[in-house]
Order: sequence, then C-alpha cells, then structure tokens
Amino acid sequence: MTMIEMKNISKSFTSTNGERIQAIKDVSLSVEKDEFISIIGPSGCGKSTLLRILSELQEYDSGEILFHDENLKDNLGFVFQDSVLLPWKSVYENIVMPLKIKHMETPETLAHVEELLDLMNLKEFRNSLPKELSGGMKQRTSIARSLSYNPKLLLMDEPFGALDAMTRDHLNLELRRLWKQTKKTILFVTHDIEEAVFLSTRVVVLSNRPSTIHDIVTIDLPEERTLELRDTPDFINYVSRLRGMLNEQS
Amino acid sequence: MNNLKKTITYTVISLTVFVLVWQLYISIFDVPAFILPSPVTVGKEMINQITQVSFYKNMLYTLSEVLLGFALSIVFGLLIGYFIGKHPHIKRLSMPLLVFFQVSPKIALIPIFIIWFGLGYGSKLFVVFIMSFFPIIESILLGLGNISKEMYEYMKILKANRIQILTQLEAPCCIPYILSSFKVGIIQAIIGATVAEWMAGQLGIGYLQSFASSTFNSPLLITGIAFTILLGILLYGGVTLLEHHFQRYQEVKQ
Amino acid sequence: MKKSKIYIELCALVIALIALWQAITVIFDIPSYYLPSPVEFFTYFSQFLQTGKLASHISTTLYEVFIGTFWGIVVGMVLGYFIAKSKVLEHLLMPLLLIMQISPKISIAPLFILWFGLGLTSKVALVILVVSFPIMIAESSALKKINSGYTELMNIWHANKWQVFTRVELPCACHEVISGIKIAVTQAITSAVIGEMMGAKAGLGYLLTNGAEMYDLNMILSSIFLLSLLGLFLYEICQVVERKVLYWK
Repeated sequence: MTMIEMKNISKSFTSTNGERIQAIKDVSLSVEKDEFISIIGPSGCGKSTLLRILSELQEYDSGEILFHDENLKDNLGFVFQDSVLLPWKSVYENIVMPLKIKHMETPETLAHVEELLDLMNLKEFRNSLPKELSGGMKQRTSIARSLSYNPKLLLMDEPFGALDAMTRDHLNLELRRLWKQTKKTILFVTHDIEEAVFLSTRVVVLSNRPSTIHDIVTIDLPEERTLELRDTPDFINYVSRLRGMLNEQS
Repeated sequence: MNNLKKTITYTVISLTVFVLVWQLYISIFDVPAFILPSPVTVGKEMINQITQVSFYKNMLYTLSEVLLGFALSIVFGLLIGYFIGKHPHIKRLSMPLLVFFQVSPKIALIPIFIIWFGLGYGSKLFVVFIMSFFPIIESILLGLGNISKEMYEYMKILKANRIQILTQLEAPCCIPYILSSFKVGIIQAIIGATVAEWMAGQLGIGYLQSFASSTFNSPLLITGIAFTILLGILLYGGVTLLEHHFQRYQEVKQ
Repeated sequence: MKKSKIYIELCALVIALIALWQAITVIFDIPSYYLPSPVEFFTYFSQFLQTGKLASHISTTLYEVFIGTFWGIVVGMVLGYFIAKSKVLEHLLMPLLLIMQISPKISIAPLFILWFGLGLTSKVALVILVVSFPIMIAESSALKKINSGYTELMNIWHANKWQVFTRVELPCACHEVISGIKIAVTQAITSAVIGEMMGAKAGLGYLLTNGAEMYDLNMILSSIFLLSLLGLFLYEICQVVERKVLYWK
C-alpha cells in the first residue's frame, strides 16, 4: 500500500546574495508501507530538504504530494540531528509532551509510553534531566518521543550524525529492531553509506544540486541484520555500488 | 540546613565584629555624635522608631510604591518584550533604543516625573516602573533569542498552536532570565523609590532620611538607611525564593 | 545585516522621534515648563554650552565618575585578592559583602554627604563604594575557582606570589572580573548622580535638582542628554576593553 506519493517535487532557495539556487528538481518517489527508505547523496544536495518538505517545515515550488490519508500528514514523527529535548523536563516528561500538545493523554497512550521506555532501554533514566544524559541516550529519548503518539510514518534527519561510531552502531541495531517490532514506515536521511545499507529496504541516491533521483537501490539482505553482516560480500557489494554512484557525482 | 546554620552564624559574627569596630572607632577618635553616633544611640533610635505608627506608615508607603510599580513593570515589560521579541523587524529597530535606555542613568528622569506627575504617589510609581521596566524587556529578548530553530520546528511538527508554543516552550525558556532581571529590577525599584521620595513628598522611607538629614538627626538617618537595606534584602530574598521554586528551568541557561 | 544599513535606520528612527516630539508640543500646545519643543531645547542647550558653565558641571561629574571608578576597581581588586587568600577574612567579610552587594548601596549617600561634605569627595567615595563591591566579589570567587593545575605548576617552578598573581591568577580571573567591572561601571554614573542629587554644589546631578526647583525643564533635559551620552560612552569603552582583553575567548 502506497503511503506517500511524491510527484515531480521541485524546490529552490534564494541565497543571501540574491541568487536562486535550485535545490531539488522533479523528484518523484513513492513510499510503501513498512518500508525503511534511506536517502543518501552528496553534501549540500536536498536530502534534508525533501524530509522537511514532507513534514511541512518547508514549502515546495511545484509538484504534488499525495498522502494516503490526512491523518498521516498531521501525525508524523520527526527526529532531528540535535535531540532537541526540553532541558527542564525529564526523559519521561519529554516523551509525554507530544501527547500533552495533541491532547492525547489517555491510559492507553501512557501505557504505550511505558512500552517505548522499555523498548529504548530508558526505563532507569525516566526521571533524569537531559543534562545528565549522554548523546546516545538523548537521541533514544528523542526517538521514543517521536513515537509516543504512534505515528505511522517516521522521518529521521541524520539522527546519529553527531554521535561516535560505537554509539551509532548500537543505535542502528536498536533502530532496526524497533522498526521490525513497531512496523513503522521510516524515511531516513544519512551521509553514512554503510548505515543506509544496514538499515534499509531501499536506498534512494540523490544527485548533486539541482538534485534529482539518481538511482534507487533495493537492498536485498536478510531480515535479521547483525553488525557482522557488514563484513559479508553482499553487504560490501552494495556499499561499493552506492559509493560508486556518489563518486560519480563529484 | 547545615549550610544555612553556618551562614547565619558567620553573618551574626561579622555583624557583631562590625558593631564592635564601630564602637571602638568612635571611642578612640572621639567622633562628634552628629557625624557618627554610637551603636547604642542608633539602636535606641531604631527601637524608638519601630514603636511609632508613623514609621510603619512610611515603610508601607515605600513598600507599596515598590511593589505596585514593580508589578506594573512586570505586566508591561512582559507584554511589550514578548511583542518585540516575536517581531524581528521591530526588534532590530528597537534594540539600539533599548541599549540606550539601559546605559543611561534612568534615575535622572526623577525630576521630570516630579514635574509631570506631581509631588505625590504617582511620580514615585512612575519612577519605580521605569527603573525596573527595561531589565525585564531585555531578559525576555535574551530568553526568546536563546530558543533554537529546531525547538520551534519541533513544535511545528507537533502542530502546536500559538498558546501551546508560548506555555510549553517560550515561557519556560524565558523564566530564568526573567527571574534574574527581577533580582536586578527590585533593587533598582527600591533605589528609585527612595531617591524620588528624597526629592519630593511627605511620606516614605526616603522622605524620612531626607528629613533626618536636613535636621542633622544622624541616628534617624542611619535607622532609615538600615531599614532601606533590610527592605532590599527581604525583597531580593523573596525573588531568590521564587527562583528556587523554578529551579528546574535554570537548565535552559546553557 | 550591513552596519551602514543599521545606522541609516537608526538615524531615521531618531529623526522620526524628534519630529514626533516637535509635533506633540505644537499640536497639544504644551507649555515649555512642562515639555519644551526640540527647537527650544537645542537652542537653550547650545547657549548653555557656550557660557562655559555647563562645561564645569560636566567635568565635575566626569571627575567623580572616572576617579571613583578607577579607585573602585583598585580597591575591589586588592580586597578581592585578600579575601580569596585568607579564610578568616573571607568568613568575616563575605556575609557583610553579600548583604551590601544586594542592598541599595546608594542608601549610604546621605551619610557620605554628612561625613565628606557637599564637595566632590562624597560622590567619589560613593562611586568607589558602588564600584568596588561587584569587583571584589567577582575577583574573590574567580580566584577561588582557578584550576589547581595551574597553581601546582607555578609551585614547581618556584614562582613568587607576585608572579603567580600576574601570570596565572589575573588572566584566569579576567573574565569574571571584567563582567564585574561592566556591572559596576553602569552603576557608577547612577551613584554619582544620586550623590549630587542629594547634596552638591555642582555637577550634572546637581543640575537636575536645580532644574527641578526652578521648573526649568531645559536644564533638566540638558543634564539627562549629557548623562545618557556619558553612559553610552562608558558602555562603549567597556565593550572595547572587553574585546581587547578577552581576545582569546
């Protein structure tokens, strides 16, 4: 079932000295349910822009976006690179905040929050303040928060970009597990090719500015993904294929 | 609690030492009483004063000026500050003006206010208002300016409405700065009130000191000064307690 | 945002405000003892300036502010140093200092006038009092926080007390001390003015009370204008000094 259909999306910006920069041009993509789609591309191309357009943080110039249902559009989850936690609220309060804003605080939703705390290994830290947390824990909280109101679609903009390699590996595993358990559809922007291959069902490669879709690669790897998978020939093949595409761009 | 005990003990000790040094000084140097009276004389005058109704009238007069003027500056300061903070063009235009008002000694406006608003309560109220108004505006601008773009974007993702953004994001982020400005503002308010009363009027702790000064009544003068300082400490302490209540929000000041 | 654009906008704003002022005085036919028009005021001001009397008032207040600030900084730093170094002094003085810091120090003004007279001394003393406190507290708290690693190094090199002070303690304490100085300086002018308002024979604050007694708003406005300029000037100096000294931050 198609969740989102993006047709011929174009977006340009005016830079500080008045120039018109075409960020993305004629991008078409359809997102199916239960997919994990990574978007990679050279830096400066419109990877994040695409995500922000979908979440209505940014407007687009032309094209159309069709959501399978209205509810989807108003209830998607977003995870930024910076965890953006409210410093005066505890982990638990931060996760519950979206429910407060959306007036969705019910016994059911709060029970769901407890499940999320479990899922993201945050139970012991439920009363901690953000300043007491490591970068990885902050992002876990951010992810749990984005799921508190059970969105069907989760948008993630380089969420692990600011973390060290080991934390990133752990979180990749956790995210993959989370995805399989909660059956969300995830759109994931990253500059890390290995991360993209590890996590996704499909990888979208964007070209240089003005970005169009250079290619879409379906990742045909086993369902159960462990960190050892990264040393298998299939995995390495995908990575070098994608790296090749990116190198062509520059 | 232990810390509090320690602080109080040390404070009592230093005050005692202070009084002893004072007594020693006037005994050794044989200072005339109207220049610097002895601690005992001052103490007697203090007791004399607090047993008189007129003293409480004066204290209450000043206290009400300060509290009312301060309350007004909070209301207008918050409203105007928020308005300026949310409109970047207006903020850009008003910043130089605000800086100018911050660096100029607003105390100099007292004579003008006395001419415009008379010798009574009104002019003092206005002085208190002006003195505490600008730090409050500055604090909101500081607080709002500290909120990252991503925070606002996240609220947008959640489809939060204007009021929710104000109560759930903007207000908590501004609180520590606003409370800091209260600490500065309340002292400025007291200074403004006392000096304004000194300049004109028939009531208030400032007037009491002016009266004492012109009648060379040093014990009364020192009593007035002491109670002004006491007032300052009490009000400052009140704001600090408020700050403790909102301790959690201090985390915003990264 | 280009700096020149900001200046243009600012000038436009100031001109607009002055025009508004003129309009208000004319439209509402406001008597000049209540609010003189800009034209009236500037005429008065330039005349006053030319008589030279204004100059002596300006120099009185300037003297009080600068001398007071200078000695206030010195006193503040010296006492701050000793308080940080001596536990006895610290326990004895800190409570009193903190009480004084948060109280309206201006309250002492009448006492100073009683003790030092109506002349410059009382105002200088007041400014010294007001300026020294924030600096004293800033310095003693900064000195106590200095990374012990630095002091240990100094010990190993057998540095004497003066060397330790100038090469480690002073630079490290700089940031807090300069913040303290900025706070203190903004209060210096206010203190000098208040001192003059309470009892003086000359100075910009004296002009304020004089003008108030004679309902001469022009005199009052002249004083306010000059005091604001002075405030702005001192603020700019502090900004420049801060940037120069803390270039490494």
